[in-house]
Amino acid sequence: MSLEVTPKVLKITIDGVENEVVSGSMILDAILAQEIDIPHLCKSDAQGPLGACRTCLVEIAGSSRLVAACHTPVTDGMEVSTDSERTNRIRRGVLDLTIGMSADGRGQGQAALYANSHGLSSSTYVPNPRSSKDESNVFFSLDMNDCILCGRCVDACQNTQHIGAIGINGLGENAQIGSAFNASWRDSNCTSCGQCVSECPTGALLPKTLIGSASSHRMGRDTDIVSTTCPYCGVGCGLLVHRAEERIVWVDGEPNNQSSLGMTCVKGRFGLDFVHSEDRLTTPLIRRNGRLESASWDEALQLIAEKFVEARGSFASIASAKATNEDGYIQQKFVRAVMQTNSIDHCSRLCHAPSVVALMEQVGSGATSNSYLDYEQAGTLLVVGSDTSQNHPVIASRLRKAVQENDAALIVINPIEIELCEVATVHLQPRPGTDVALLNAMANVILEENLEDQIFISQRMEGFEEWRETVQQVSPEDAEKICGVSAEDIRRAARLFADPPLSQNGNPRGSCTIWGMGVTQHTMGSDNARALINLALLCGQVGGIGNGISPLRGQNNVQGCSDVGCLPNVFPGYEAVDTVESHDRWSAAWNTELTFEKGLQSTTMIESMLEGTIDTMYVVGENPLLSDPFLAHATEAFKNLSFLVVQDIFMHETAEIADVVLPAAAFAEKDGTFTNSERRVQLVRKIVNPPGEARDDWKIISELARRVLTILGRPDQGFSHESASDIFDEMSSLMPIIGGLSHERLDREGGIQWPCPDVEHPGTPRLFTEEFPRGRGKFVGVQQGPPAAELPSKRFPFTLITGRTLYHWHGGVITRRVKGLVDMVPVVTVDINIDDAVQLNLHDGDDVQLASRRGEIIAQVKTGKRQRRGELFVPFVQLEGVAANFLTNDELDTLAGIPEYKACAVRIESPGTPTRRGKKRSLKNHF
Amino acid sequence: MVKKMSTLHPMAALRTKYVAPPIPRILIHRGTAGDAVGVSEYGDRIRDILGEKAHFVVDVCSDGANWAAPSATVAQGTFMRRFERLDLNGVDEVVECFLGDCGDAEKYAGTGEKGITSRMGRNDGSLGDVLSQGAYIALDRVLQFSPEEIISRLADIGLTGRGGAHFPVSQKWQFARAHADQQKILVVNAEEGEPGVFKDRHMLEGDPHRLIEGILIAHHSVGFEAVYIYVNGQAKQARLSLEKALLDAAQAGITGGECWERNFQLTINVRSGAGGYVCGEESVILNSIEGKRPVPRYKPPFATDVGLFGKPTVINNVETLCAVTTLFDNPPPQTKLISLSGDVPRPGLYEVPIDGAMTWSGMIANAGRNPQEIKALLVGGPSGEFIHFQQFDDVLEMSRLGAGGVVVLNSVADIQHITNSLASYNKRESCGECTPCREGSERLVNLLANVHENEKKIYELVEIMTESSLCQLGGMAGRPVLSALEQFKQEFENS
Ligand SMILES: Cc1cc2nc3c(=O)[nH]c(=O)nc-3n(C[C@H](O)[C@H](O)[C@H](O)COP(=O)(O)O)c2cc1C
Ligand code: SF4
Ligand code: SF4
Ligand code: SF4
Ligand code: FES
Repeated sequence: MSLEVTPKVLKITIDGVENEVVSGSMILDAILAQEIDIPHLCKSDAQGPLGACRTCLVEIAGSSRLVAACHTPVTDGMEVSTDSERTNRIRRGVLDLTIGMSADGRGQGQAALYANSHGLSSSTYVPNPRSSKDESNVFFSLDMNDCILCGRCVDACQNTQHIGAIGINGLGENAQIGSAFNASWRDSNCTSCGQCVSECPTGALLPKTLIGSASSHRMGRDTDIVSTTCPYCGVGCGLLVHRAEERIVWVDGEPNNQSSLGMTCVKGRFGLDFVHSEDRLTTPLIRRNGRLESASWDEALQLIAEKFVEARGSFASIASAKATNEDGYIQQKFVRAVMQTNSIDHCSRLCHAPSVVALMEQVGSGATSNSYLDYEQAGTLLVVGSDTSQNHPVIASRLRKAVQENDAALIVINPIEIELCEVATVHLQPRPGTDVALLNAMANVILEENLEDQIFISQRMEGFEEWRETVQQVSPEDAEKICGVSAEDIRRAARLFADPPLSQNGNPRGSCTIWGMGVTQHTMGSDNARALINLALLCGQVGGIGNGISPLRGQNNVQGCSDVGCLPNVFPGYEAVDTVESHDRWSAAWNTELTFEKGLQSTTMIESMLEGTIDTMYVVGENPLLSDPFLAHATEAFKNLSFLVVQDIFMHETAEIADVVLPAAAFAEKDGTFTNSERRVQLVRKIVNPPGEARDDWKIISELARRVLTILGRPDQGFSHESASDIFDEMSSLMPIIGGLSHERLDREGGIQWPCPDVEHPGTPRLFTEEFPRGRGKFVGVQQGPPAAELPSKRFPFTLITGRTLYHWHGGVITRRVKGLVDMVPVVTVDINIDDAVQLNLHDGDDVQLASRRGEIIAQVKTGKRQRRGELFVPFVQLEGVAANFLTNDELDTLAGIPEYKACAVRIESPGTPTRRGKKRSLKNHF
Repeated sequence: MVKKMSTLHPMAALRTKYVAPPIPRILIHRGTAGDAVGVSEYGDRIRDILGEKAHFVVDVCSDGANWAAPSATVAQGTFMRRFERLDLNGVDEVVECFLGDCGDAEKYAGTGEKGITSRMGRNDGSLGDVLSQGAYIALDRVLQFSPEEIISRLADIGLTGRGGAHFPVSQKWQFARAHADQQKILVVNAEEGEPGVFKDRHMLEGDPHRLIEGILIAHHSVGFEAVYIYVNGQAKQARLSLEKALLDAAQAGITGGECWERNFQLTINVRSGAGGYVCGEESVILNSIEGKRPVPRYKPPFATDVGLFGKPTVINNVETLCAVTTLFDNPPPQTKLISLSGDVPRPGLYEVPIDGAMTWSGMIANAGRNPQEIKALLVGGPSGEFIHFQQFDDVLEMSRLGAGGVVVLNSVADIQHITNSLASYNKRESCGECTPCREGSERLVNLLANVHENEKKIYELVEIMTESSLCQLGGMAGRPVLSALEQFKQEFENS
């Protein structure tokens, strides 16, 4: 039977109507495609069949038995009947047993719906529910009274998210849904992603936030669904947002989204109600007599326009990596074409500037070279300095899938034992700041054992010989001394990376290099990135299927914000501001004379603010007074400004000291596009109206631009777009990398990866397949320097590492407004090695004061073995007025200007210890 | 590992190496049944009496006649005499017989002479002993045939699976053989979780080499990457003797090395699982071996397409593979192992010819009971049916025998009570994966409490469970119920 050549297209007749399906389709697919609705309680659109509910029975001509449509493949010429007396009778019987499981005998959600359509309003049996409940999860509850044991939740957790937090515990009549080992849901390894809730057909798993009753939740009454893109991280998950009465009531993952494959994390699922928060900014505010007071748009904009006109020459602006591409494009156009400066930057400075510096230097493009899909096709995954499960949870799911389903090897390099280590093949745990030595030693092993890709090196690379010398000095044994990682582990990792395990079918596979802020947020962040890129290039692991290099993007639209030119040195599409060709091109396009001079980076803006050379700032969608390192210093700088405009959706630290605050629309209130970490440009759609008088960022900026131009007596053209789609059309006409894209096309085809130069072009999943933008790739030798600018000392004996937590976003401005997220992580915690804790007599839950040379914070102790002794970890979210960045060092990476968030020296004190930093140093001394 | 013996024919070489010249012996029937009644005490006694001739006494497994335990058999060439239900006087009789005076020497009329049980309880478990009794001759013969020839031979004979579902062996092998994926797997189902069935355990304890031989024939016909034998976790003895046999076969080069022209190079793994009725269902075994929850998989896809670790997989019962060996040893008629219990003087394992002549009555009589004293048989356990005494003259048909568990019920047996117990058993054993069985089996138990009122509903429910259940536990759970209601309605009348 398997030898037969199966035709690609199969004929199937369903209830007398003939149709064609592709081979491999199940009968249920064909039935649903024909828009016939039969019960299928355990089969979701997004997942494979489970065969458990037995409600999808149909009759096949010539077969004596009924078959389950969900897992029976179509064969050519098959004749199916979905509506015979027999199928209806048996299905009705199964549904009768099914709703008999619910406490009221009527069933819930889809079970009730299908029972009704089979003529059953309640079960003919006495109700026989399982009655346990689990309310421990903050975001949703489980009520076994409504559960039909379809198993979809378990499948979603295990096979979609690859978490495996829950299962069907017990057999037969004892079967129950519950966390593994019967812990409470909250104490399990559940990440609260809500995939299970999304799959539950009855509402036995019911969200606690967002919506009320199980039935309405699952029967989809009164909701309509808008497809959009998640506003949180750079993964860029597709969301299907349910709206009822102008509110977001539920979120499903968009199964057709190629980046997220139907998944979301807890923030995308349960974290969108910040949009409806009571404390949204709803009117413009102007500072009068020291207080911010409501004002009209006209007043506020006119005031700003007049001030900005005066401030030409001493003006800078910060754009938001949370806003849309269209917003960012209009903002940088305003800054460049109207304010005539290139001083515009955004937060990528705080995360990936070193990656971009290194990538530009070595390959000539700063973007991720590959697609998430490559992770699933790779033989080896090298994950460096990224706590992917916390920061990019859906990518973490795809990594676990690669390991669990496709037998990929996973190498984790991280000073902290992150969650991914559970499935890792090797975990290299270097001392903070010793990555260069470690990576060089891996390269050394690869060369020593002749595992490098010689053809790739000779055909596509340069600088090999010089570079080789630098790594030949670093033996694994040397690295062992510096990094505290055994030479043997270094060798093992190097071999796995250079020679990835074959696929299950015995085919060769590639290695993917994935990194996060642990690589970049160091004084030698650029060197770390270079060492990593050298390694990938050495093995030729770029440009092919299942390989590639990926700096994981933090914010949802960091990639897009850079693409559209919110950077001080390049125009949209990465054209240098200081070359004649692009200068002339953009000057012509915008019908004005642009400046050749590069603008200020966000971190150097602070310096200029203190010096007074910048006296006017326009900050859109950012809160630098939380995210900047050494907060006290940054606050000083902002206070030194003569005019500060902040445009955002919430009041925050920076807005509080602004002269004018403008209320912006949130992602759910506007149209536009985001570009995610794999260069996929995706639509953002309006779901609800903005509160009060809040407006789209681009509309505010355009209006401002027109007013400034008018005052200047220049024609107020170039800022009169009708819609975000209009702006995008201007962008695509000027930016070859998205030349083939439009909102209309993205709407039709879903997200597309740039470069996409013309309308026929399908988009580009992989860069550098043939050559690098700079021609040949370049090896750049780097050497291990001191691990950090500030090393532990007698007075400050601990190394503090900062990072993120799954339940909060960035500085927490948004997530602090989501009750469930705050419930999960209400206070700032400090992770400390259990042995250190014992020595200091500290226990879980104790409050301690952490002090650095720059400040002190109170945090709650969490003991464990996630990091080695002498190291502490604090997430950099601000909760209850506490933020780790009061402690961190603003020592910069010289090239990329990124601050050293990842390592600084601190000590542990009991709360309330008076500051012993001594006299406040004058800021002059600091520079 | 044995070096290839190029000069001698492989079989001859094996025998030369392992087989000792035959000697007369006293076989002490140990095994699970014998040990339970302390047969080794009698063995020791016999050895004491024989003194320096004690080495003629050997421990063997049960020969299937569990009723006879403690028992011993005197074996001299083809002469056999079994001494049953030994007591201390009986021991003297055994010794006398062995030493020459066997009285009315009757030929041992035990289980099938040349069939699947021919070596059961007659070998000491050593490779030499089974070789001397004909082991691996079938394999040696089969190696001259092409896989196609073997499979078509099995098709001609119509050999079906002995695990209960009676699927044609040839078809299963052909499906797997034809599959494009070359990494195929054989899983041997030795779970035997059905209450009252003990044939596979006997085979493994008493003649594991017959199974190994069957595995190699299947391997020659289909071509496997790996073999897994899934043994019931409670069958400790069976597992031990199987593992010993596997080791012997590997060391002799039979499975692992170059004993034959064709080097099998086959790794045979033994696994045990949690146990329970449904754990014998084939896809539960696959999940169990993969370390997953022990519940069935939906079908299609069938295991021959997507089986263990996603590979095309043949799953065969122990008896099935032993029957394959036997078939190439000795031509038909086919036989079936019957695990007989209940109200008979001689319960135990019987090898019964399915030759169109053997009847239920004949079977009952073999076990020493007058069929006229019997009300019914329960055949096939909790998934089975009742055979009414009026049908006792029907000849046995393979397809009605399930896995071969037969319980003999005398005239005072309470059919209603038995039916209710079977329904409760199925409810208890339901794995809970699918709704019709998990919910339905419980509803069925409740409905049976008042058959009078619920009869119509019972029939409806059984139809629903039969038509819709995910696996055949739920699919067959209503079978004994309907069979009881149809044939013994009067026994339910006053409930
Ligand atoms: C509830 C249930 C229990 C079963 N138990 C066994 C068993 O213990 N041993 C067995 O060989 N087959 C058992 N089977 C049958 C197997 O699923 C399968 O059909 C058999 O192993 C195939 O081998 P065969 O074709 O050689 O008989 C069981 C089936 C069901 C539905
Ligand atoms: S919320 Fe996510 S992680 Fe938690 S049980 Fe559900 S699917 Fe699993
Ligand atoms: S909780 Fe919902 S999804 Fe999970 S088994 Fe029960 S009904 Fe199905
Ligand atoms: S029929 Fe019964 S035993 Fe089989 S899968 Fe369904 S619940 Fe489990
Ligand atoms: S949908 Fe087919 S068995 Fe549940």
